[in-house]
Amino acid sequence: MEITEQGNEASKQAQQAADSIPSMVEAIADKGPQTSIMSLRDVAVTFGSKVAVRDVSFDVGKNRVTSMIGPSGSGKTTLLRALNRLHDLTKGAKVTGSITLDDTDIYNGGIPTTLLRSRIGMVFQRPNPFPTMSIYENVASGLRFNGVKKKSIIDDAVEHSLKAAALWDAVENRLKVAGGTLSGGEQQRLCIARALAVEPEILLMDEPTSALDPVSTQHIEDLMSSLKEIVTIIIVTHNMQQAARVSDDCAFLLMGDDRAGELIEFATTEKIFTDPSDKRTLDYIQGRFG
Amino acid sequence: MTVIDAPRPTMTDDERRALIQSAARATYNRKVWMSRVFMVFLGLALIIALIPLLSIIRDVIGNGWRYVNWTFLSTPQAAEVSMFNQNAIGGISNAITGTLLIDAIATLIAIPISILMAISLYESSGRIMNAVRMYVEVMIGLPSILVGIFIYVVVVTPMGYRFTAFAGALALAMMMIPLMTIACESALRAVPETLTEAALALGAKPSRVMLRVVLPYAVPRMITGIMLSMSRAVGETAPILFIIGSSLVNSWKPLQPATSLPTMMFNYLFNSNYQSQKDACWGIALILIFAVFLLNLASRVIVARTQKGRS
Ligand SMILES: Nc1ncnc2c1ncn2[C@@H]1O[C@H](COP(=O)(O)OP(=O)(O)OP(=O)(O)O)[C@@H](O)[C@H]1O
Ligand SMILES: [Mg+2]
Repeated sequence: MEITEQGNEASKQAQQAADSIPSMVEAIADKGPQTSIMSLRDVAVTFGSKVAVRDVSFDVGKNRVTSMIGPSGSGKTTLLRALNRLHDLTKGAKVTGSITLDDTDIYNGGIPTTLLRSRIGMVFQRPNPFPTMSIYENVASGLRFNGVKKKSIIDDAVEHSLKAAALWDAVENRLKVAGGTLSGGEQQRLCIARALAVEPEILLMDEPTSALDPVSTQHIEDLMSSLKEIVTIIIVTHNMQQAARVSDDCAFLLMGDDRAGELIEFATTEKIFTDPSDKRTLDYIQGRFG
Repeated sequence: MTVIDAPRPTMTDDERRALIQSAARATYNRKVWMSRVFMVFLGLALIIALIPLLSIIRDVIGNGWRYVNWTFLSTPQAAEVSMFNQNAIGGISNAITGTLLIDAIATLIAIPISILMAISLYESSGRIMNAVRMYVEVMIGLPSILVGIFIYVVVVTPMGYRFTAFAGALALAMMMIPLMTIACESALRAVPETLTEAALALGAKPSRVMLRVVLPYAVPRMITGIMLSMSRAVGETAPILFIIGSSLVNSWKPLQPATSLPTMMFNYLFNSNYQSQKDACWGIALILIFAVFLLNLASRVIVARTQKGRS
């Protein structure tokens, strides 16, 4: 069944490409590691006088999976939250340097924060479904926030997103119950479905599978590979195998002497895991500290 | 490889994304427009709410500031104002003393009772406790004059019609307890359940959980609630007006009559023949407002201190 599905997708795409104007074919052909959707330059995040992470510069490849690895406290979550301006809510938090989305600086008035966040989805470290909403409403919430009203579209998106998050079978018959009644792992998948329903261009995931069983984890990892077609993924993970399995590029962060996180190395995942340039990266990969 | 087997007959992902993004943009534009209108309304509402408040403050400060001097604050009111020297009305130290005494006793009575009530409301559920909660909530709205009459009947009369600061403190405590109880209970309810569970999972007795985990977390909010209830009580006049009597000297004795700032104001305004005493009410009003302001400031400082290092 899966293979057939793959075939369908491929043939549909081929059909589309053939039907459309040549420039579109070119655009598809162009999708490679060279196209970056987001660029970070000398990004630093400080909380009051504490520097949480600094000296971060790299490009996020479009339709690729970028992983961020590093020991606890190296600023992975902090950096991830800078990408959709969630630190705006934290008093005393300051983001410096430049972060651009499609060449628009996201911090200097290039794009309204609300719209930015509707284009960049997020899955948090701890599941946080809206406790007052049903499963259905949780998934539909993003669409509703953004003014989508047509029921057929919402129904379709709810089903599709729940399937994509490997949760549909478990909740198909109880879409109306509260999201908080699901198990921890199910809640996390609900949150993934909720983020996907908005069709973000970038999906930020903070250890999305740390609360999941191996089977669901496998589902989510498969999902990431297939989602790449339509969404760019940035994932924080403590699981080296996961980073190696799912990501194309990898950023390694580590605390400096003053306990502030720094970007040590950014490269393709293959290079990071087989031939890192920095000795500290190698040590971390091989589990010598962290 | 893909796990997506949902047919999407209606549109492709790109079409869907385009649709959502245009909906988002339209919503955003509408929201920008709406939020401007909303801001204007908010601004108007703020102005309407502030005008009377600011004009009271302006009048009170404008007319009252000249009374704020050490003599006015530190001397008791004149025992008798002479027809020929109407301006020799003395100060208000007897009323400051009375207010401090009455409010301190009232607070000391109200805090432990309120906290215990809050804990029992928080810990137990069920019909009886729900009834108690409803009763407490109704008590908040109790007309304060009724509290005064109640204390008059059950305390002042049995004591041989003796007016005392203590009776006034009881009345104020009765005013404070429902407010404080509800404030403290909601402070307890705001403690994340995960903390309680974490402590229980360590094998802590429920009473330990309350003392070591829940209460410490709730304390800043409780303090805010307690201070707000206090500032409500400081200005209360009706419940103490006819039960504390009056004292012309600085008296710290609970079982003696006392004068408090609000009752002094009431007497100056309605029972005095001298314009000088009526004018002095501006000064008293300023002191009262300042006291309430100080209470609020203090609660903020305490909360800011205890909140440090918490997220
Ligand atoms: N709101 C905040 N205020 C102050 N310091 C913060 C705040 N959030 C994070 N930090 C600090 O920033 C540093 C990086 O934290 P962050 O949560 O980004 O680490 P992490 O790499 O995600 O760790 P983990 O792998 O354990 O999730 C830590 O030292 C943390 O104490
Ligand atoms: Mg983290």
